Amino acid sequence: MKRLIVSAAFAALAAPAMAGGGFMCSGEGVEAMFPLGGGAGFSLLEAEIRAKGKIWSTVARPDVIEIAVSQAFSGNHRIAFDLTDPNMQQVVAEIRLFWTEEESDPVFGGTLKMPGEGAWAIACDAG
Amino acid sequence: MDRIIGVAALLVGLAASPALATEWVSCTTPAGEASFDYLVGSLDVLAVAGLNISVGERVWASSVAYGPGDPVVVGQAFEDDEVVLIDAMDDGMSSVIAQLRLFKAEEGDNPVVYSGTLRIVDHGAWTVSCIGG
Repeated sequence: MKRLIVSAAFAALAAPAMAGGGFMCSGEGVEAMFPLGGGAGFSLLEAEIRAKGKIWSTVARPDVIEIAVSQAFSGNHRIAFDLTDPNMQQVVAEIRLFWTEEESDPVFGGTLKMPGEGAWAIACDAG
Repeated sequence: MDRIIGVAALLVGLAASPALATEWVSCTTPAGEASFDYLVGSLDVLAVAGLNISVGERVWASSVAYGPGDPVVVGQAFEDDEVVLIDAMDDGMSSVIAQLRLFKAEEGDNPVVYSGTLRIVDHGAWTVSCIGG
């Protein structure tokens, strides 16, 4: 039964971004959203991080520092993904999450590290 | 059995020895519904010398020295540069009471950030962040 619940949760996570699937994460002084794509595996479509009065986003706009989706992996109750500069030469953000559940919806918690900027404890809602 | 006695002796020695500094790491849920505190020594590997776990009115403690509560012991425990993984077991080592899973992140001269998940069997699952360590 638990496997079914978790599978359902990840099926929801893998829903197209247009359907609202993805993570909304927050910590003290930081907010981030990570829409996910459909299909097998953990597929990050876009990313936006707001911290220290700055905005990093994969969607180019005049008011943001542009970033790119890089490596990502989900397995063994862990989710890890990195965001880089648009040329994929430097890691801009490292997100590391554990997930667990106890007869409830899964909960996601971990860290966001941005080299040169800071490191934060974050909790994420999946939707 | 010798290994168990050896590990127990190490942990007792760790907790009792003034030469080896120990420090509590306190992990709490955002709304304070549950907590998982563990006592560690300043070693290169994770050696958990004490545990306190609470959810609602329910409390577990690995020693009366750390407060009242039902008995709990450290099961498997592991730490490296990236993660902290601790299972808390009943005193017969037959069932899991709680599982703590943390990622660590450090940037610049700031303290290491510890954050992840806490699952307490039959009680719930939460995100947690921790201080200390």
